[in-house]
Amino acid sequence: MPISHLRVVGGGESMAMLPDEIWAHILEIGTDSASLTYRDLCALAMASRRLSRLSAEPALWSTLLAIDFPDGEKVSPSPKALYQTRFKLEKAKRVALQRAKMLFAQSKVAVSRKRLQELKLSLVREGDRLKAAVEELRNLERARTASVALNVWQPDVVRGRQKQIVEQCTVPIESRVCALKMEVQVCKQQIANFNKTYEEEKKKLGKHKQALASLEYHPLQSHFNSTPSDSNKRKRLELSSDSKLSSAAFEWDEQEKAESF
Amino acid sequence: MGKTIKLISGDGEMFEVEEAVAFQSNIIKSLADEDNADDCIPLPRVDSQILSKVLEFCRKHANSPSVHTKFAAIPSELCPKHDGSAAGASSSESSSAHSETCRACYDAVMKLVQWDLEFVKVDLDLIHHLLKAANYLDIEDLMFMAVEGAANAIRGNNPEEIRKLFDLENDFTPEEEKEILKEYSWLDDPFEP
Repeated sequence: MPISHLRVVGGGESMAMLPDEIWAHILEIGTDSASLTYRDLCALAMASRRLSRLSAEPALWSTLLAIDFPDGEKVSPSPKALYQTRFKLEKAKRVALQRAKMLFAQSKVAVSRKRLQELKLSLVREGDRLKAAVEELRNLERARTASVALNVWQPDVVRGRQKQIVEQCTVPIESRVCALKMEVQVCKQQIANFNKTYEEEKKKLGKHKQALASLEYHPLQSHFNSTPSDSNKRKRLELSSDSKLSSAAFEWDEQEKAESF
Repeated sequence: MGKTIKLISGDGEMFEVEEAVAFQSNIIKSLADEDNADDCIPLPRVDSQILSKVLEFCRKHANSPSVHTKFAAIPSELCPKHDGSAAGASSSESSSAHSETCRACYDAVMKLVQWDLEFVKVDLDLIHHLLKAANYLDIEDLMFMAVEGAANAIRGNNPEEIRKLFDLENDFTPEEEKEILKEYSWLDDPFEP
């Protein structure tokens, strides 16, 4: 519907002089094709009274609702207010999600640290056990050599001493020595295992601490971060109505999930 | 190839173009229909600089489907694939509705859209004139793209920049300003006063 009173000259007229109908058209097509976002409408609203009136048009906000929040209420007496509500809701969800992520990351760091402590204790315990076994072995060796010496050496003084040692030893020596040698082996193996696990857990702790640090460092990402690109525009000009923005779900690190179970 | 139409701009320059090009404008089309003796159409409200830009657009769109046309409705004559192969193709194929999935049509339209988007990546002043011309001459596709161009120019600016772009006064009172800031505090990155 052409407006006949417009003169088209190469003069210095400002675009603001265009009649409301054309402005409405610009805003309508702009939002339809996702060239204009909610931020742009708000910026327009804050620029001047006339633009404030034009950008408050409910149909525009209905369009934005359909694009940005496709599943949900479609009809509302005040689409702009509804948009604001949905927006705040999404934001609150994102904040809560972020907090949950943080707590999860923190707990993983705590669990790792605890595991490391337990491993240390186990190592100490096992080390003690090893020491005891080695000590006992040494004693038994002494008793064995003592009993051999007993059969070889005659002098009473020496004999007396050896006899003392042999008498002190109540356990059948050979089998005990065998058992102890095995115990020493087992202890050494355990210690090696614990050390290995300790190193692995230390690495895990490092990873978890890194994950936590990155969460703390990166500010909350905006859901509507991306500005519409040309390719998006092409899509909008096509038949299908693409839902540009995916839902606000975040992806747990699949590996993390597997690790914790 | 066909009849030509003569157009005279507001500053007296004459442009001769093919019918298919000129008839992109519904106004020119209706004027040419009723005016059978005179094939010279005056356009006092459009000056030569703008008119030549408009005609550049129309020339590009002359033998293409409109951006708005659904693919299925594109007549086969406009499909690049069927160009000149009418003899080879079966008669039923060329007369039936064009396939919605015709790859050649899809590519052609997408290429055209790309060209259009580049065409309107110009300063606001030109877009302003294109808007008015498209409105006056009733050229649907140009109107659509000029509007797109305007929307693109608006996008991503804060209120101060928008005022600068369109030469606007900040006609809010200081109290109203405060109200507005509060009203829009829910934005992720609220605009500064």
